[in-house]
Amino acid sequence: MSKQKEKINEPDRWLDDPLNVRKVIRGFYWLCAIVILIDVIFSLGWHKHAAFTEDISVHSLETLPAFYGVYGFLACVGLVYVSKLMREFAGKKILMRDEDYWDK
Amino acid sequence: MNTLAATMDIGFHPAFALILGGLVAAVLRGRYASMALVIAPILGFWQIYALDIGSLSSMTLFGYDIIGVEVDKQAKVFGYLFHLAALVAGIYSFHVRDPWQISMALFYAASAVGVAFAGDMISLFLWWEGLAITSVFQIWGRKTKEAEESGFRYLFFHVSSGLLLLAGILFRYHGEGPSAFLLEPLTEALEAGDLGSWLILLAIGIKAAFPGLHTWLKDGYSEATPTGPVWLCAFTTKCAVCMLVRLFPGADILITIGGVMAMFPIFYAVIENDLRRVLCYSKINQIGFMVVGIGIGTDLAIDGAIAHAFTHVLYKGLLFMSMGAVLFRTGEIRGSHLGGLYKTMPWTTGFCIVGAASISAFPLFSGFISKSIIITETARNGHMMIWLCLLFASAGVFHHAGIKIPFFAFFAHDSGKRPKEAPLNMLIAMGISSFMCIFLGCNPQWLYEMLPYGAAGYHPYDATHVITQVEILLFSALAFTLLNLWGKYPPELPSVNLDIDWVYRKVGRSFLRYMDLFWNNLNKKTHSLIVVDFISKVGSFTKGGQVHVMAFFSEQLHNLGLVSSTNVKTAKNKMEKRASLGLHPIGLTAVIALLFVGAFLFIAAS
Repeated sequence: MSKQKEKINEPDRWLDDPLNVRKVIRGFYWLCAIVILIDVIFSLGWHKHAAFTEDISVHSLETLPAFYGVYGFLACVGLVYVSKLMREFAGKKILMRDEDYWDK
Repeated sequence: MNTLAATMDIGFHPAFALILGGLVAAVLRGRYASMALVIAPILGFWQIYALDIGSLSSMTLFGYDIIGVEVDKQAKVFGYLFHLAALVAGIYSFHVRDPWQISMALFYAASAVGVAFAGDMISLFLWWEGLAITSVFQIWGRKTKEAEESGFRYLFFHVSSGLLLLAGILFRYHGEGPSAFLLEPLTEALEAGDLGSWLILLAIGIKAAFPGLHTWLKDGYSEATPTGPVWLCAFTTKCAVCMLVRLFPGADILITIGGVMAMFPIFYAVIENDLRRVLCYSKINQIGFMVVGIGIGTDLAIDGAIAHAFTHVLYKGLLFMSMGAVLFRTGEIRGSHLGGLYKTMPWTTGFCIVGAASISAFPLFSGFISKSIIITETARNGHMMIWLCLLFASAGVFHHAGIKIPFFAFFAHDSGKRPKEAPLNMLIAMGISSFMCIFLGCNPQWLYEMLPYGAAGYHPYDATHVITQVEILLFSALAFTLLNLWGKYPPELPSVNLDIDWVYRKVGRSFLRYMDLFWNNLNKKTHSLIVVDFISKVGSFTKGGQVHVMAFFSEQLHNLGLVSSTNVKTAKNKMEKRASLGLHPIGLTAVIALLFVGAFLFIAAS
């Protein structure tokens, strides 16, 4: 601990201030909003190239504005929750073991 | 035409510069040895540049024509790639002073070049074995017990791969004769159920880390030296991709295998604590994209797979270099014990972020120009489920390799560690890779022109691609940010996760233990029962019987004057002792023999 305290004497970085971290996060939210806006404008105003031809069922879904954003978001939330279940489920360890597991 | 002559002109083999470099590095010591790491790849690169498409080198051995080298566009792309990777990894490893590691690294790169240029199955097999043996020194170089054991497990997989390849070649030779040695697509034979082709696919599948055969990768790389994975990640799996393109283009099964490879590792990567192992999982995920491209098999998809292999070596090497620098400086690679390193390692942080942006396929970075080809071709060929999987995998890879790696190593909570910036040679190597990642991202035509089909006029930078890609990435990042702020993101915990290796590391070991317990105990029991108990009982019984018989007849024998004793008692004692020791005077032995013969004749007669 004492070592850590000594090191705290160094000059503060810009990111050490939680206010600045919040600024970064807020900027990021704005960026997300702008990209969605561009997607909506682009989808309505111009013609987006569809990845699939019209005879494939996902065609109409894929051409919706913000489809990629929603899919990416849901995919990552799903990914995290499933991964957490892989660690432990209902209080039981599924795949996670102690670090020295292989040596036991 | 630069026709490569046969045996006498081996100096022209494309791997020559690297082999020579390896020999020099084995003989010299210190910086002079390290110089070979830089000079050999540069010379080799120039040599590849000078090769003409279509040149051949063949030799006759035991009546077989072996095509040692065949130069085509694909071989040249991989040739450039392997030399570039060797140069970057060489600069990165410039400080290493272990001659085994340095020289074997160059032989390893040479083996990879040999595989890329192999003209037939026989030369492929020889270089393939070379890859296995030379690469393991990057793991053993760590010189820990874990690394040694992991190296043996790694060898087990790769030697098996070589044997399966040989078995596959021999099966095919048995069926088809000498034409089986040609390096031509086996897709039709595979789909017709030809056993040899399946064995060859399995052999390549081990090196390509197909699902279930992938554990050597995350096991070996995470135990290697800080510089080891930079070498390992460039060659072995890319040789496998190169051979899949040559032998199994358009094999439908590869689309499914690739889809699974792209999906399952990302779940593991989210909960993995060892950051190099996270990179290993994302590596399997990226190879999954290439395997899907090869499975689709159109000209553009094949080009996409090769382009992705090219960019992947650069950005994955860059990520492994940044994590190697962290390990080198802090001696720690667990996410739970790192954080806040950006304060003293700003350059490494920056390079890591370039690698992260590239693997995530941000526009203007190298991953974008190759991954988008594969995803587009998947959609164009109507593989809806695989397309959804690849999109999921794209979001997932950004999530764990793009954000998790830099975030937990360099930002997140302050670990209190204040290591020095990475050494200059490492920074130069990372700088070159970063430059290449951005350069190729901004100038895809440089890479596309080298591809076998010239990327069929593909343009990655159209508005739809850019917008949809940026959108999917930013919203993946949004998910990470929100889950982190709400405390829902799984924290980095000191732990290991069970994978398929559980089967051979735990079940296999338990199997051995139980077998040992059962058979060795059975052996011991049988020994004590038969050798110790039974035999000694038989011995004492037979001995005792003789003693009793002699004691029984002692009086009569004494009376007959056959025992020279004063009285019956001493005669009896003497006879018993003699019987127990098996000693009898000749006369007595003769009488007994006579008695036995008589008894025998009597029994025989009656």
